Amino acid sequence: MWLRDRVWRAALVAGSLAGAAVAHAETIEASSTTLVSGRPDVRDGVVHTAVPVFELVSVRATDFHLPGVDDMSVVMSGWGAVALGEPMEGNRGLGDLDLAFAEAKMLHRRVAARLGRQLLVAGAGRNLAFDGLTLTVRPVRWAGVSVEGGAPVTPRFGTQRGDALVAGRAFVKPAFDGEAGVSFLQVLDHGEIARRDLAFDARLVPVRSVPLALSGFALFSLPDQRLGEGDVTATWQVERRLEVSGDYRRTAPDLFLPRNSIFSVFSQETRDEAGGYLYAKLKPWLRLQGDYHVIVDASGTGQDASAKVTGRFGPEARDTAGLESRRLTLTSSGYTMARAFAVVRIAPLIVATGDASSFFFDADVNGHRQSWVGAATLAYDFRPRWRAVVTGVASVTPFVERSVEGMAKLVYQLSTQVRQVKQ
Amino acid sequence: MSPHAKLRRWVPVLIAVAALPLGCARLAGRDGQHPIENDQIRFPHATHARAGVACLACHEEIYDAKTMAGQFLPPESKCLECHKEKKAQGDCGFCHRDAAHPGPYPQVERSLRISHASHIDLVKEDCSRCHQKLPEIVSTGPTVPPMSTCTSCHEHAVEMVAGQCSACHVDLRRYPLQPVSLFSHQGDFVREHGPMARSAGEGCAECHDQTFCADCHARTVAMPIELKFPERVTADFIHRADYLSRHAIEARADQTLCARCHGQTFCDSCHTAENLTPQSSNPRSPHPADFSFPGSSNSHGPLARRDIASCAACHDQGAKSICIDCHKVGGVGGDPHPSGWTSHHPHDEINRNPMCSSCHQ
Repeated sequence: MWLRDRVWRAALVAGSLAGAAVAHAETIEASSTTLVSGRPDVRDGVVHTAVPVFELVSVRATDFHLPGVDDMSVVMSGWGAVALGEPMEGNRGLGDLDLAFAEAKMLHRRVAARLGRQLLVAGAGRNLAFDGLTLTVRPVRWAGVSVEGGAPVTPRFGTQRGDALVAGRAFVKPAFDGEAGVSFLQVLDHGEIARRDLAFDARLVPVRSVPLALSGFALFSLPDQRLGEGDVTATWQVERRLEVSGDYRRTAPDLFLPRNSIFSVFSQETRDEAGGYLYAKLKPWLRLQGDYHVIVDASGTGQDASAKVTGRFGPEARDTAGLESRRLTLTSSGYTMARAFAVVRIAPLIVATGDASSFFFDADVNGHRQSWVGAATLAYDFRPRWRAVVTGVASVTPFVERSVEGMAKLVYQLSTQVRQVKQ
Repeated sequence: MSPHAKLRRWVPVLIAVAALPLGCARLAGRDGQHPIENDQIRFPHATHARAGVACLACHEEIYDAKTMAGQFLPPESKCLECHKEKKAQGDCGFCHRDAAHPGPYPQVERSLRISHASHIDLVKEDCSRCHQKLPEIVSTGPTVPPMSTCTSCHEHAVEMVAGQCSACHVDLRRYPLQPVSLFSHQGDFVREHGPMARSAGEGCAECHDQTFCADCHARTVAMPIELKFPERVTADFIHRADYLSRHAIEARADQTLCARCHGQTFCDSCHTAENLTPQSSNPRSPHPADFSFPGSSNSHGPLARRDIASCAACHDQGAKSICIDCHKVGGVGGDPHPSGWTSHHPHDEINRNPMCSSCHQ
């Protein structure tokens, strides 16, 4: 019942926003994806067959011309699904809104307001989805303040953790590629504090002539007076063909739990990670990237390393093939991954892809040490703006002895200018 | 399960997977051919300019145009004011490149926001101040005015610093992606884009709106992105291939990795179906045999200290959580708080925080 109400409410909001957008915007961009998949779904050792049919819709309408409004846009992204076969979640019909908001910039774009379901990305937000209002004021071009208020979105498969949110960020922006801010976020759950964080963030380019970018972030939990998350990164683009980066990150896993959870009182451990990556375009057709990080936590020291080589081949370098590997070593577990992939344009409008992955586990996973997955896809751009995709996946994994999955997808992309609005 | 039963189980899958491409084939048309390319109008701007035809004589509408939406190219009737004899003679090829399928001007997506109405008087109706190159019958490359014509009058640096490209550009997504210095998308961009977006989100938003972020980061998405885009084999996706078998290892490698996106009970919904939690109909313990014994190699205490989020993923039932039975005040489990706890949680917090009363009754 609750879900049905939620779906209807979401559909109503989406319909209203989309209707208003189509009625008044000049530019409409929309995409529709219909996706059917069939896969074995293992539940407690029993194989069930799940055949969900999804419809994903995204609409973005811009260029409204309203008095006193410099820019306005309406964005809606949502989905609905009908589960055939034996649905995993026990519901035949599912659906939700990922985003649905209207945004307006006014007073020479010094004031911006966004209302609806949106993501809070900057500062302490950590990509928190919420229903509410964001108001950004920039009295001068290089500095401003934003405030947010609303209710956090309940994650899918999750229970509600927080029913009210208030957040704010003050920032200075001395250059296009540099910004620093201090932000605050508080989430309340039935009147109790679930999160109360203070964060500092910065991205700077110290010397204009040197392509070196520094970024840093520190988030403090005010109730616990501890660092919940902090990182520093230096990225140096030596030239366009060579880039190196170094980073360090510290997290306190317990501070990712809501502060009103009983489990928030049991731990104060930290996790540290340091390392870097290298990207090199060795030849016009050959790219190499690799990264290495050391992981330190209460259980000991681990290592995470990966490498990827990608080459472009064929006429006009339209085909791609690559190899990838990863080694993750922890004190009690780990695995090695090897992967090969390829994208081949077999006809002007048809693309085929292949992807094969294997995993070799250090310790038994459900009594097995290996996992093999192969996937092949055929994509056909059968009309302008239309694409049909068929995918087959076969796998032998520790949890499923043999598995074959199929998926078909139909995508429609629309971008159009609807009409001229006379002023 | 009998072979027939196995086969029956796959029947709906095969039908569903087969139905979509068949539907697509119908949409593609009976003969599967693509629509004919749009006709183009052959118009020699240089010839007309030499003849002294003013721009506004043909492009009348542009004089009052405050936006770029709409059609500002002259209608056929305007051409016929001088060339009506060509149409009378049936010489369609005089104007239409594809005389067999004559059509209107192709619709062009505008990439700039500009009010011609407020510019035309400023340049004294000299359109060539901006339009330095015009379309000719024989194409000679792009004819869109270069950005330098804008910046010759407008101070661009201020908007650039503020990251407000959208004042003029409809959006930057239509431009081919180049590795822009300091906003490079090459290398390990999956790892790097988070810190970048946290402090320079407006810059990202010039090309990517929130629907782009939501593909991965929305809490309500229909499916993981690697299922939505199986054809993107060159992209770096977190859950690609057999994530089920390695999810416990990945969670151990970074205890915050899962918590960033998934709700706290995300794990529980699957584990309950797998009979791995107390809420299951036929619960089985996923823990080792010596999990409950302090001092044993698999004792739950140190494991919980290191990765409390994993415990909470299944066992957080508030005041009814399983840990309270042993760890409440006076319980056999003793004080579970880590050292230094009281330094930032004074004793009187027990009276203020309802959660404390679960153990401190």
